[in-house]
Amino acid sequence: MGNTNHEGAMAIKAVNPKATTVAEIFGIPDERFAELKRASMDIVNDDTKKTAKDYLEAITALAETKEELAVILYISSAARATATKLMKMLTGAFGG
Amino acid sequence: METTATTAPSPVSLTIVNPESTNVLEVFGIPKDKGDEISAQLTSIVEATNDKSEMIKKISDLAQTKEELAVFCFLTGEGVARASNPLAALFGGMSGGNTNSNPLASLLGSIGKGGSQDNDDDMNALLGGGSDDDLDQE
Repeated sequence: MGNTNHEGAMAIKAVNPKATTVAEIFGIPDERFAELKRASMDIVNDDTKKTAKDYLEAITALAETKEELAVILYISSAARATATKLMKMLTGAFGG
Repeated sequence: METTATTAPSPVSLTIVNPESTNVLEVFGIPKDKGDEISAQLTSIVEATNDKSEMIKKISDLAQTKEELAVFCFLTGEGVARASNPLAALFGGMSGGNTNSNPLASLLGSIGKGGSQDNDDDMNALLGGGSDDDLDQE
């Protein structure tokens, strides 16, 4: 317990290590990835998914594998945070 | 008659342990001390590479459950984005996407310090204030 220096049960492997896109590296077909990305952006833009819990639940429901879960969550949470930060900048939160 | 189990992939779902909590770790039943321990490792992962795939692989190595996988990916994605310059992203990732920001500061602000506020204010997180997020807590 407490030792996290070993490979966890959720460890994902690169199936195409030489591929150039994250999706291909983890074996997610292009069409599926595009579909996941579109759906995840809808969630990011959904005003009713304001809390991290709502957002995580919604994104997770899109995923069918742990690989999809990891990739789409990483990418969409980065997009979500960037959008939030940008909005704050543009609306003057940075102004002071 | 023998039944053959079909193993069609079922959608992943997360188990919510503490629905009332505003702390994303607690919501999904990840103990605070484990979160703190992991935050240090997420920090070194972000520090070690800019390669998204490498990062995702290493994050997944740390996860024992799908809830951990989801929360760790979420926090790292957020942490990296918060540390980057959104204007650079808006204008097409100038200079190859390099920013002057420090992903470590963001990770430390958003995970280590507040112990993962649900979605703390990024400016406050960077400055060490770490308060609730106005967007999440409306």
